[in-house]
Amino acid sequence: MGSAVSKGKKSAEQSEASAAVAAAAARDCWSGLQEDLLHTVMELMDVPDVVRSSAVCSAWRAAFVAFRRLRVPTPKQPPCLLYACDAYGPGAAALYSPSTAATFRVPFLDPPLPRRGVAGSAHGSRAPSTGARAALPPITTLQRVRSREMTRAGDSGVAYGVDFDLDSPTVSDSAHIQYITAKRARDWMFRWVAVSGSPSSAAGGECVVLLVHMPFAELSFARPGDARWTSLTGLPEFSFARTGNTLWTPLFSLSELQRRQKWLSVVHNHTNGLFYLLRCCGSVFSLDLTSGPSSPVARTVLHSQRRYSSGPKPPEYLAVTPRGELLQVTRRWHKSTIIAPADASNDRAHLKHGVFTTGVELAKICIDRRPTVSVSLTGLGDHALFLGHSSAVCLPTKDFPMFRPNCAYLTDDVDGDLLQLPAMRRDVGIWDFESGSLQKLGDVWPLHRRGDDRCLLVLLGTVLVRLAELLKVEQVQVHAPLPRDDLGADW
Amino acid sequence: MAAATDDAGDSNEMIRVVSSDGEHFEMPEAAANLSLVLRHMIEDDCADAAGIPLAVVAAKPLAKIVDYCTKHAAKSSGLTIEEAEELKRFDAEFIEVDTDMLYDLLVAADFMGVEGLSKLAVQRTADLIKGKTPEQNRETFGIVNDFTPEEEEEICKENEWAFQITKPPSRLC
Repeated sequence: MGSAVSKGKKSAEQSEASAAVAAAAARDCWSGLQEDLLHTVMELMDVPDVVRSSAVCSAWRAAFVAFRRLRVPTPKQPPCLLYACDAYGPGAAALYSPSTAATFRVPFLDPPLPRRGVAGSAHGSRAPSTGARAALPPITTLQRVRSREMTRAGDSGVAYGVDFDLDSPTVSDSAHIQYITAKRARDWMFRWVAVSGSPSSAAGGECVVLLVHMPFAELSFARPGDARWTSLTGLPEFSFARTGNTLWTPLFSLSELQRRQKWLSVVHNHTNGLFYLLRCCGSVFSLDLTSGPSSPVARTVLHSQRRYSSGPKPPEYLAVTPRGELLQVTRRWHKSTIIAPADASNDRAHLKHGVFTTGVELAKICIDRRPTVSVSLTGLGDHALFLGHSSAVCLPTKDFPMFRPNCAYLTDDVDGDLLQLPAMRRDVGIWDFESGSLQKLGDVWPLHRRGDDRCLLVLLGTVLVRLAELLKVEQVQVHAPLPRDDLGADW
Repeated sequence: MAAATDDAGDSNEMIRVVSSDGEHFEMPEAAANLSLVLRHMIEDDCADAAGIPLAVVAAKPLAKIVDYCTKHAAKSSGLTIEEAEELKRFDAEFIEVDTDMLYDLLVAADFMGVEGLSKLAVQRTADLIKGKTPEQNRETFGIVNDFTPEEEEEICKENEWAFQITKPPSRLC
């Protein structure tokens, strides 16, 4: 433990003078900090902090602009909660950072105009911090969307003619067309999204957006810049006869068959470049979209013999761990719907729903084994899981010490009819695998406890996003539905 | 003298370095090896009695860096948990410096290629910036606001959301 020996000491007078000079030079040295060093600092900060630091001086501003252009990934960036709330109006979303307990109002740069509704938002995805958009094809190029029309004169809406024909979505038959207002299509049409690569990578071809869309939770994909969405519905590997017991097929009603074909979750595995898909029947597929737009390659990874049961299905998710392992997550919950008496917000008796998570089950799908097997897990070890509307993210807690290991952070994720009802309470919290119980999510919790839905936020469009993507951005907004208007209003 | 350093590791050789303002410092070779630049100089036999000149590092930060390297080199391998803890405490105290010194350390550690110190200084800088308004940051770092009022307004408007840390809106209702 040798200590430094200062030799050749100058006179006290001299060193004092040099110190003064150094101090004077150092006084405004920080504005001259090398840009790459400043970038290293920025990598360690939250996005809001990075953005704020850009307003300090012009040199830092320039560094920020370069940083944003570089789209440096910020690996330490914890996930945030992005949600819509009435207090912020339709032109903005609220962004809650669990690690700093701060909430930000993030406006959309191009607020959805009442008259345009989803027409604007569906044409691309936007970026709160850069304004960049990934040019995704418009909603009208989805296979089942037949037309875009203005609703009655004097009314301020756009509606899409959506083909609900189960049999032949490719044949136009006006008998099966139903009109969906843009307002509803906004969060109803796009159900799940998985994105491969970064939309900003120089070779734009690496980025593929895989979409599960309504009305029957079908699959389509597109690359930024594509003119149209490409439907995967006809892919032979996905044809339902292969996955079900053909003997029984005629016994199912057509709509039940359709239900079992629905896609529940899609995820991209960064380690092998494949998408993994979970179907309502329980089967898991892999999908390779890297081999060119015209030749998607699908493979059945896990064939499920799950028995049909009536009643509501628990939400299921696929998630990929940082090491590329595939997890299947089942969220057990209890649902209830009550008839609420007339109150200040609604002068008639109305339905309300309540959802309460009662369990989270984990299984690892061993994709590296032949044949693939599913092994149930009792916990996540030193990982944390984030389950939200349209995404499931698994992170190592050693890199994100602000999150608790072996826990799942849950956001409300109700689907279907319940989506349209006001909520008694929101199902948001932390599921602890060790104790098997649901716990409060700190500060944000009070947000979701209020039963007074008209005054407060409507969280149905909740998503969990990795804030890191705010700088790489497109991805986030692909995940994020637009803020919704108060659902009670006029659905 | 520094020529006989090939049998790395156990050599008790002292390496001399000279700051930009002409002060001489000495540290064990193992400590100097924590700096990429110094290690290369030593490997190239540039470390002689006159000392390795570090043209852009002033005496004040250099003294700190020599301290840092000496401490860390003495405890580089086979750390017990207590020793690792102690090193952590040393780091925490070490980086409790004013922003002028922090700037010097940040730049010098980067220049000299002292990885651990670089990380430490970068983290400290990030921690200082975090959670502050632009004005508070200017104050902390002694930066002059060189924006015109128009520019400033434009910047704040562009990313307005980041400048409004709010309580969750439910509290407002």
